[in-house]
Amino acid sequence: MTTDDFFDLSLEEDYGTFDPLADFGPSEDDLDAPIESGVIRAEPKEFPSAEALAQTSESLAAQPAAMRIATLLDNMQPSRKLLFALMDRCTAPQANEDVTAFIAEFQRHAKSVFTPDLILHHLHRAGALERLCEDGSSYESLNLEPSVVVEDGVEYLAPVTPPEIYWHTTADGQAALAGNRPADRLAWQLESEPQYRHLFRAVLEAAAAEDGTSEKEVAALIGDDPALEKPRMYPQRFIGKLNECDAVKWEGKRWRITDLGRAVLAEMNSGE
Amino acid sequence: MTTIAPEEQAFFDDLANLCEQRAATYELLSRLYRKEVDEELLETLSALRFPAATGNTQSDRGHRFIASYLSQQWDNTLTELAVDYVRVFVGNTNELDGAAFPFESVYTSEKRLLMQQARDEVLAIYRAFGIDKDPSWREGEDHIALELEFMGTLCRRTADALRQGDEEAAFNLLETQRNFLGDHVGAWAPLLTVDMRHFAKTDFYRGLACMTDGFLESDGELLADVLTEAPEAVD
Repeated sequence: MTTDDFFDLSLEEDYGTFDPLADFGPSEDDLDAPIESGVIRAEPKEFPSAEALAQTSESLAAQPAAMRIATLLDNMQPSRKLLFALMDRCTAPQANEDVTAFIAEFQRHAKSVFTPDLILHHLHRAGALERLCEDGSSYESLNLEPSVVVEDGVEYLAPVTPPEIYWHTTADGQAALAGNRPADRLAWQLESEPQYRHLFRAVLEAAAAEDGTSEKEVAALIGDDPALEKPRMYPQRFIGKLNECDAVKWEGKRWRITDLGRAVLAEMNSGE
Repeated sequence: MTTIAPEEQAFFDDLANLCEQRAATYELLSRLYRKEVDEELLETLSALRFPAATGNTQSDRGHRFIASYLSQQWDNTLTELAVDYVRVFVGNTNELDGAAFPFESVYTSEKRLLMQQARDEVLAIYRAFGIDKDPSWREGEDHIALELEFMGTLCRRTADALRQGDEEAAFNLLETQRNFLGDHVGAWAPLLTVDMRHFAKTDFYRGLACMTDGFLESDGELLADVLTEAPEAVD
């Protein structure tokens, strides 16, 4: 092949006979697509039936609370910190209003698609939280029936205002909380990757600054380190790992060191 | 216009009041079917007083279901109701019987299809009364919410006619209501409410099914009584 051939972009003689749709003619499947099913053209067996979905939901609900809580934590990874924070906060019964305000404040720094009531609903359904009345009795045992009102001799049912809910961590919730040991996770993280220890320390030191740090600043700090070349790693990964271990937190649009992170950093520096 | 005797006008006024009460119930039912309960509606419902003994078992059961549900509400209630609304009326599969699809065509066509003869018929009836759907409404005209709202509109027009002493117009409107109830909404709503009870997980929508059955049954009986007693309209 010559240089001239390489840059020869003239049309080939048979270009005009090329049919781009030759391999995409109508198939029998298209003609047999059920019109009644509307826009989606898929075999009915590809979609679960309503009964199958209901059975899946019921079998999940029948699992022990410990398993339901573990499933919830796995399925809501981005919200793990909040879920544990709530289980910790509710070890003593907390009024719904206070818990809702706590969640709203938490989510001020960590946006979530879940509203406070939905978070609490999931924890309740998983068996991590229970609902109590103010006097400590079970909320579920309340008989919340409408009141009967008589006007002009006619009886009416008037919905009552239910009492405030108090959220309390169950024994299964306490067990899940006890199993959450971020300090152990952080120690394991640092021990299992000694080749990156100096990078973790650099990120912790940056996060310990008065104004915290950002991903961009961390990238500028460690992005050229030879340890990141093979296998190729990115600075954001180290922030993520420290965040998972509760060594840093996102607050005020900056990454900041936590008490745990500060303690581990002090150990790392003292060990030098 | 002939002079109306005081006792006859009193009867008309009582009947007008009754028609306005019927209209309010039709409009409430229509709203509950049209879309999910929002915060404003939940507040309104929570302040309502539901008749405890109407004489109709289904109505009483429906009122108790809903009033009891509202007595247990908390922050998650709106979400729970929205989820149940979708579960009941929209479904989460592609099966033709995967939900209680609230359209007359679905329950009166052989293959449970939308936009069938029933829709054409009710649309013609609406237009005969100078009514058409709002452009923002994207569904078929045979949706239960629209059929109930139509009944409510006829009730209000009847009340107006009675207050103006227009007996003939009132009689004709009442007859239209009886026919529409018998030929359309009252004919297929009982099938819808059976499916609603199957799919609903909240007492709210189970209660709505019962309320609908009870009210349509009672209203049919009322219309039959009123039209039996009323003198024939002058042509």
